[in-house]
Amino acid sequence: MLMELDPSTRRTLRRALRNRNIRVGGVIVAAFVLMGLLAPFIAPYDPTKGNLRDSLLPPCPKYPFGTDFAGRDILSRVIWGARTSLIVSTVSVFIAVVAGILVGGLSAYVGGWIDEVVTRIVDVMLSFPDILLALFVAAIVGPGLENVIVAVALYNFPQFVRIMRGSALQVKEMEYVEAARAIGESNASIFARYLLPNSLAPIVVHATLRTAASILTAAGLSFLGLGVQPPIPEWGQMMSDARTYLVTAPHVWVFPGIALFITVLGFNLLGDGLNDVLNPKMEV
Amino acid sequence: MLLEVNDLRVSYHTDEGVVRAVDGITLSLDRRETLAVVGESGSGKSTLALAVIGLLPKTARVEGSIRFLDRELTTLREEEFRRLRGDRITIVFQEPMTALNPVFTIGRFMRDIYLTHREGSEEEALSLAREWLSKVKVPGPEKVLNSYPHELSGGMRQRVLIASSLMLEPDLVIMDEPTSALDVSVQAQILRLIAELKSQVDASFIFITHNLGVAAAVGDRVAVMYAGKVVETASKREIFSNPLHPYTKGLLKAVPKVSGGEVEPIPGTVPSLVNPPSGCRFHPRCPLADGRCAEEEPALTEVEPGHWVACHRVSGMGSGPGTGGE
Repeated sequence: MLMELDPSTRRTLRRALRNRNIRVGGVIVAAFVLMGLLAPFIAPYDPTKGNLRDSLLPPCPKYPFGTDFAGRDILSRVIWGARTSLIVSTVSVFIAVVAGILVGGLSAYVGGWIDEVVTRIVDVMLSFPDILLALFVAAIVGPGLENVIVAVALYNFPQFVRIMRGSALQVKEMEYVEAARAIGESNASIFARYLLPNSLAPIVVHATLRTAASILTAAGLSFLGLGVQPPIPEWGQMMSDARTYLVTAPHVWVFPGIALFITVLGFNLLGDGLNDVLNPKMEV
Repeated sequence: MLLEVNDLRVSYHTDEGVVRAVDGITLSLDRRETLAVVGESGSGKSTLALAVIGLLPKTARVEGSIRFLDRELTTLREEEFRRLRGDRITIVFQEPMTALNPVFTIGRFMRDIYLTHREGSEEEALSLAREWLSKVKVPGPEKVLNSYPHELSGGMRQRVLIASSLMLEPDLVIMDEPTSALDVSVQAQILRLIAELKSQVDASFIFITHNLGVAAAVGDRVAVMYAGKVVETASKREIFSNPLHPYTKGLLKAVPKVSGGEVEPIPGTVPSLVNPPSGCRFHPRCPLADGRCAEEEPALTEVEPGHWVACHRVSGMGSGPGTGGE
């Protein structure tokens, strides 16, 4: 299959596969995605139904990760939690990326006072510490899966605007953009076919890193009770529930904690690796 | 006349003041004629090119008139101008390494030019592209069509850009220093190619260069620019055998020759366009300047049929006092 690609793509791919961060991060992310997608098939128990007689059991052959206060299987809840995190992080990052690309790209391309206004608004949004903006939104719109997605998307959005704007400002000055004008291309066509595709590399890297941050933020919101609501299994909320048994039943928070830690680590490694490979300074 | 530029002025308002990049240029171009515009950097030659194709930045102020195919370009609506660009007027830029979109193959780039301006199928577009790639002597046109810009050398990319500029049989092709960014050996090849293609197409060319040798290789007529103005224009033969303006003479002496002989640089530097010298703009650097040159601006006058000069020390004196300089 590699042979069908053109030489430069093949070279980039080969370099990507040689990168250790990408290999390790890729495996972790793939495992996380598979876990989320296949949750109904691989989870041994229903994550929402508990057996109160099995409440707070430590890890044992029947429940490899033990059970929580309601007697629900923690392994199953960790697996289903991956699905929740997967949905929240990818959907929110996707919304933020699409909106950020459009707003940032247009702002850079059009310039003038529109660019000025957009930049100021983004500056204001960026001046909030990360989770505060999401917290603010979540507090206003209330908890729930959709609202967490909106809150997390909104907190990612200004970063993508800024990155896209910077990247597009650079591409805008390239001679091929002027050349495109010289062959009679319309503004819309130049924007969509010259500016966007050439500005995307830093967005890809940042999207990966923001996915990690979004998983963490969503978990944080749920931990504070402003996120995904029970009975939907979610790592942050599982850890929140475990606060009461912090010492007496540590397995209740240890396993979702480890899952969260490894997943975030995986995305960060992947993002770092992509940065190494896609960074134009590494070319030639 | 295909193109008539009349008293064209292009200025920019900057923090330092008004920059008059092009300051009252009048020139005309016949069908199938090639005009080589020669000047140092900052002489306004590229601004002239961008004005003709309508790609000046929005901050530029344009006065005067540019008539092309009986249309006034300075007031043409952007939408209509867009239809001319790439079709009737094309341009080849200096830097072939960055003039192609890195995410498109050459085939897609050339196909897009065709489909932007013509009703036609993709197959027609690609076969025309293939035909033109072989006309510009690209080895293996089919392979080049499927290549991305970074897979081609600078000379090859410039050939692609030349092919693209001629593909739709334009009336006017502007070449803005098309060989300056290339290796010397490749430069010669490209110049030969351009000279060859000129006879095959129906287009007129404006060839912008800072190199008189290049102008000699491709131009029918040469216009010498200095600080936003045309100081001398004549046929190629006339300019090289009988240069009249002291600046033109200086440029000719500054070109190293294979036969040896001293290279004499022109003393001084190109003046600021914010605050240009009074009178003749060349007078601070001119060996022949006198009091009048500092006060009164010389007009471009026809001293011999087709030979125009803007110099007090030349005009009205036939071949002028300084002809022995060569």
